[in-house]
Amino acid sequence: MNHENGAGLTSAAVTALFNAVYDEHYRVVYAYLIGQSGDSEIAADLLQETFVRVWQRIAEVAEIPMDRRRFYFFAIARNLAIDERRRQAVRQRHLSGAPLPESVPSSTGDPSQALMTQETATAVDNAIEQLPPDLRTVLSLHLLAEMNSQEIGKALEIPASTVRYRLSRARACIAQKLGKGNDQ
Amino acid sequence: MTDNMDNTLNHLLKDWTERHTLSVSRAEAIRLTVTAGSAVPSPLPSVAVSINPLPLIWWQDFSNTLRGVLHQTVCFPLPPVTVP
Repeated sequence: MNHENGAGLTSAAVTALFNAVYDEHYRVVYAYLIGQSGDSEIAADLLQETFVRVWQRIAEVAEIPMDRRRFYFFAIARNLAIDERRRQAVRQRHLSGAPLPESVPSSTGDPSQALMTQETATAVDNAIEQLPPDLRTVLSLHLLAEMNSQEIGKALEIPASTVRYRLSRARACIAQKLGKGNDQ
Repeated sequence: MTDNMDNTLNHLLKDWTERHTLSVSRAEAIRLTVTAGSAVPSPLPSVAVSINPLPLIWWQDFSNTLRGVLHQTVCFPLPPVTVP
């Protein structure tokens, strides 16, 4: 059954609009949230929260020019990520002995190779998690959303040259951390 | 960074990307949770400006609830109340 809402949109039209918006933006918003949070599980949860808010404000979203919508979604996502960081900080103050992260499944049958792969994967995860959010955000948008420096610059409202610098810094930081890990 | 280190880092970052990419099934699950959940899209403000249907809807709901209660109590079929 189609209900009319105030915008003259039927519920089917609202759902179609939401689906189009979701399909166009979810990967980029998810990549942005990984950049902000440093954790893919948290990013997926925050992605859902972000789009719950988009769904609740779909009439407002419909009035935003298409090329400006990403900024609106990033603003919601950024606020949710900040709230999540605050919650995590409180949890970390109250909890000790947090469980180790889940092991990374290996496709090889060799246990020593599997251990090596798992250790390397964990080291890379840690190195990226420890990056400052501004470096991690450009890196995750580049890797996960497959955006170039021009597109990232437009999305974050920073010059493309700054994006290239941050990408280079992010890679250097990761390489440095992995190098230190190997030295130990 | 040497070319060799650069290649190794590219390989590691590709692996990280594969492990952290949101799966299509997870993305679909999130979409369904959002659209089928309890969250309801908000109407535009023009609803409140053009007409205020609240009293009529309240009266219709109240009348139909009362009709249901009466029907259950006395088992007497009553016509539904509609707002003109």
